[in-house]
Amino acid sequence: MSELTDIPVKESQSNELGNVPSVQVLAILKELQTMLATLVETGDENYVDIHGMPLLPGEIQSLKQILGTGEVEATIAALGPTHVTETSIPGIWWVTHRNASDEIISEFIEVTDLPEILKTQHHDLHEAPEKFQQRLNEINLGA
Amino acid sequence: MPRDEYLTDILRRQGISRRGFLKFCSAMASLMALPPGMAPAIADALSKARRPSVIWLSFQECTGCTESLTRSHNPTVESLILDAISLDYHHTLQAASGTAAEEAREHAMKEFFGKYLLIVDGSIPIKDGGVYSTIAGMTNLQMLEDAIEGAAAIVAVGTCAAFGGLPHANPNPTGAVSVLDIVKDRKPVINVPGCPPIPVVITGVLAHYLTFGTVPDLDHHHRPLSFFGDSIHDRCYRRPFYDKGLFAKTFDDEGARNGWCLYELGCKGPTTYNACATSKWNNGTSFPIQSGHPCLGCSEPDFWDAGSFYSPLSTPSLGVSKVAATAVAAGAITGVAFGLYDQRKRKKARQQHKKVSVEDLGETS
Repeated sequence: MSELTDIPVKESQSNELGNVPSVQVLAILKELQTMLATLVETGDENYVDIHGMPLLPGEIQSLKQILGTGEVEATIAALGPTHVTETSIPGIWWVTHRNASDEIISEFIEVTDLPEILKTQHHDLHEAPEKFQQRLNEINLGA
Repeated sequence: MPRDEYLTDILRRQGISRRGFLKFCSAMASLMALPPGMAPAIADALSKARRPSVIWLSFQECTGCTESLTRSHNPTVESLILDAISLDYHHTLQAASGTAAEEAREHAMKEFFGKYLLIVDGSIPIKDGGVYSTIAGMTNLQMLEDAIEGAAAIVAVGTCAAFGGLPHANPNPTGAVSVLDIVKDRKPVINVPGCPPIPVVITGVLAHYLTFGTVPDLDHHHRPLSFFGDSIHDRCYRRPFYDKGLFAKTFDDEGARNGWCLYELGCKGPTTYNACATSKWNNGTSFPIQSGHPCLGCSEPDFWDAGSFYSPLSTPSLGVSKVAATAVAAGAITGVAFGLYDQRKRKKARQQHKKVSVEDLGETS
């Protein structure tokens, strides 16, 4: 049985109310502009939950095109792949969490210096010296 | 699976890393319509959460609600949440049957008295002593009454449990009522209506209970505000067309092809509160309006008796005296005129014992 994603879908942008970007896309861009100003002034991070917005696939694509692609792209393998992309606007990141079947489970635009998921987790850091020592012992270089 | 295990232990045993757990919590925050910045707080709360006992009772229903939940994609956040609860009784899903199944229910009710989460789908028939639906010789009413006392909270899943749904529709031959009609104010009741409800809304409510151990903020119909706080219309991507007065008049006209507002084709979005426009269906693929069909209003009380699915909201339809004539569109006056014509047509059809088809209704627009 073919997957849902195998069915070809023609994405179209409704242009009846004017040229792209749509009003929804414009609203998000304005919100991101405010969030970015806040990050610069106070250091406060903020987020837009893409799944909480009534967006069409074409509008998500439009938003991605306007924000562009920056210097950093990362893939994290944890509970399925997570793709983190810095947009062409420094401080604005696109984070897509997928499950093991490669289906999107949540998607955010994060306005931050560095998305939390990219950082080493504190618990892992505390356990790291012991783990490293074990590795050294394994190759007989330990103290 | 040990009952006193913490959720973090379960996830770790499944090989989920801390980054994976953070990702899980971000998805949970999104599920509960909380800011993603809440993910660390959710992680902290969940690391202390133990698996609650859940008893799921199915009464006068079609099993669509259970199908909605279990047919969601897999592996998922939803499935992880289901792993995080102890589903002690669900007569569709459990392996046990007959006496053994009923013993499992009675055992869970006794062992976790005052602590278990009671989930109900289906309405409760109360006419003629409740004889119209029984399980193991017990009426649904008696089974529910027995389970109410020891429940910490009750979740009514689906429109039948929340508002009576289809069984409650006129003339309601079984005397079907909602869970809240029976429970009243004895226990907290969370209504998760929808025919069926959106899977992530069901699991979102479970996630909230699991995370915070409390009942989420509810609206006047006992629905969680995080999912039912906005109308379909408020969050609809076709809303700009409504605001511009651009409406599809039939299902195949220029307006329909251009994706204009479906208000005049009977869309109940303006008076329907649910998360379809944002959560969507089939793994977030689409929802009825995006597929070109008006919202039926399935998460609202008495939606089966609220007139034709294809009449504009501004049209007072036959036999729906309870439905307010909400004239919210520029074309409302036209809609009322069509509605009166529509009523006469249906009255005539009833006298002639003819069924009114969708095509017939389409002629009114």
